[in-house]
Amino acid sequence: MTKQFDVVVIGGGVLGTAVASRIAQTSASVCLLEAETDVCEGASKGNAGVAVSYYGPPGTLETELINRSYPHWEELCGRLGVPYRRLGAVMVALDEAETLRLEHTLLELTEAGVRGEMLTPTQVRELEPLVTTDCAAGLLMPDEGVIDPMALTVAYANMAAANGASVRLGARVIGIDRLDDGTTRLRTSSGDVRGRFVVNAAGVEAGRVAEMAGGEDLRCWPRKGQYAVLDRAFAEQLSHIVFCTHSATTKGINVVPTTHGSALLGPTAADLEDPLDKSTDWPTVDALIDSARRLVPSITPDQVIKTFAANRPAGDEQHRLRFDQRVDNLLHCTDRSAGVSISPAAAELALSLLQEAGLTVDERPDAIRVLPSVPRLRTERNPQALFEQDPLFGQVVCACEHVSAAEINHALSQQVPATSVDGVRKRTGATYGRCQGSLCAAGISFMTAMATGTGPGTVKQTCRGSVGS
Amino acid sequence: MTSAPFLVVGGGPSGLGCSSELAKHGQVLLFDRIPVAGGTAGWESQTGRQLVREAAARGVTFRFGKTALRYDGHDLLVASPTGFHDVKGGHLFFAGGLRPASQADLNIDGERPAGVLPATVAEHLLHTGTRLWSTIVLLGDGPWARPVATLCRARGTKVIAVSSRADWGDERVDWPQRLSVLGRDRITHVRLRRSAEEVDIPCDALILAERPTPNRNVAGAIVDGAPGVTFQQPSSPVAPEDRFEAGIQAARSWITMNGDLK
Repeated sequence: MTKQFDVVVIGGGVLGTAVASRIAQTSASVCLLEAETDVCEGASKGNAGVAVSYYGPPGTLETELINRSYPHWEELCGRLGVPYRRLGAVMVALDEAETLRLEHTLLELTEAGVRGEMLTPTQVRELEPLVTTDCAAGLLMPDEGVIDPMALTVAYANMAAANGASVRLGARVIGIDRLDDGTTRLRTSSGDVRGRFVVNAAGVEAGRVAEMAGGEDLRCWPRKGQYAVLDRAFAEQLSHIVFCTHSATTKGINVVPTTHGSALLGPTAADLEDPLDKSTDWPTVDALIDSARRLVPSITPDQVIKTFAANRPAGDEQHRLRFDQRVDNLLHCTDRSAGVSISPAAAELALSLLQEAGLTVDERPDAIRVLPSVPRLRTERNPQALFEQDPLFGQVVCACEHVSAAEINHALSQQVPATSVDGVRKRTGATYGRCQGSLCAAGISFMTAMATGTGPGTVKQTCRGSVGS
Repeated sequence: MTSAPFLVVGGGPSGLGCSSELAKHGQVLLFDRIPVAGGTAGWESQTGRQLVREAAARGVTFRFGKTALRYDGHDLLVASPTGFHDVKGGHLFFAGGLRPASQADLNIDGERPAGVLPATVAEHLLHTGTRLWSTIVLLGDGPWARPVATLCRARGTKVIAVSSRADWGDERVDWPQRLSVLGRDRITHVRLRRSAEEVDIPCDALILAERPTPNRNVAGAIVDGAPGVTFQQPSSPVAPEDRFEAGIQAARSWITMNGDLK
């Protein structure tokens, strides 16, 4: 018998997990389907990790959702155990034309009710001394913050599972049929499920899902962004997010401190056909570094410890949080690139839209709203207190990032656990430092093999491939 | 005697050499993250044991199984199976060894599939006795290349060495101008580019063994010139006895510059 749910969410990215997590706090039953063997494998894994306060002009749903989300990050991340820091951002103008654009941006911010303030070049450099002396003006946006987008997505998924959601990994949707009773059957690579409502949070694959469901012809395509990760020896000098002046067509290359203490340069933007093309190339990375150096001249190529790329869901609509016009139980839930920043409010909106469409739910007073916190050795002021909780905090596995065996074991045993070396990285930051795992990846492979019942050859290095072949 | 002991991080030949010399001038605490000293010389080898005995005879105090985390110019925070300890100290000699250059260090681009591993990791995994791959591309001629090649070939894995001087592979290919990884789920090829040509070598693993690069992982002792820190991580000499001697020399010149603390 095919299991039936009130809501089936397709896509374990930040929006799909946020929606599943929200629905799981109610009396409705929810199932999350993810094609890969871990959550957070698409655009949610490969982004700059900025929780924005501003992303576009007022009057759009996206801006409205950002406005409803950004004031609450400290509270939400506190409950979810997700690293977040409200660092503030400075947007830098390099000439008079860009200064005019900043003034225009400030008007948009003010109209949207978001804090912003024009800065003189001197003020910019007092605030962030690494910014170029060629700076012509700056715009301070104090409510911008940096977040760990992988930890956020995993936390939403853990919260959903903790509240009873059925989280099905490795379940790629291969067919969608509307049944006579009005429900929908989803055929997946690992069995069928039925749902009264379907949420399409499939990111770059949203068009494919709509097509399978007989829905609208969604015009969407992958937009590849390449990034370079900079070593903490440089990044720890950065105190703010440094944005370039956004043009009318692109947001350009930015310099973003991460919650891990590194920094990200990016993203580039190239429209593709193939959603699985996540390759980087050095000419593009070099150009990325050159662009970033216009803002922060002390950036050099030898600070790059890793490059990566991810595909965000570009489309003719910047965001889709609405029911399909043809299939009345199919709710689209995608955003061009602000998924992290809208996720808390988007999840609330998705629930309201489902209720308006006839889903009756009650809030569950017993629902779990706080995840058990996992301290991080690297940022802990009093590590001895951690040791007294669990002696494995004293066993440092990842030497560059100071990730302990306690943190790795937690990643391997949580509700939605890591099942690969990369899954451990996404949850803890281990192997994410300057040596890129040359000291610790063997140890993490052994720990992952122990937890997943595999061996040194069969343990998974990534979602899709094992260490040995 | 100075009241603040010298702190040495890394119990390989370099750290043992530094410690042995420093012990003439004050108390020395030598830390290593694993429970034995010897480092690349190997704790079981004749040479490794000899170097450890020598340091011990000079009065070096060993602190094993302790991972150094943070240094503030005086004190060192270490993690250990018995808890975290703030060790009061003075100057830090960091001899944390060398690692293979990473993909980014070598400007390797392309996909990021499974099957691309640092040689240090490959060596550990191969020591389990498992045959892991059928054909590897072994990049570079760092000290890890030969052992990885030997372990692989002993288990019937074909080794294609990318290096100008390797004699440890089944085949050898010259170093390219650019190198890219191909393969979505698992590596399928390494693409080598030289000005006029582009060659794709089929493989199921790419093992990085090029350019020994200093480990830097103690906060406060990361960048050259960090206050209170001397880095002793030479890529040559390679032989353990020579590294030990170079450590002695490094400590001696520090003492000459900074004065005998006795």
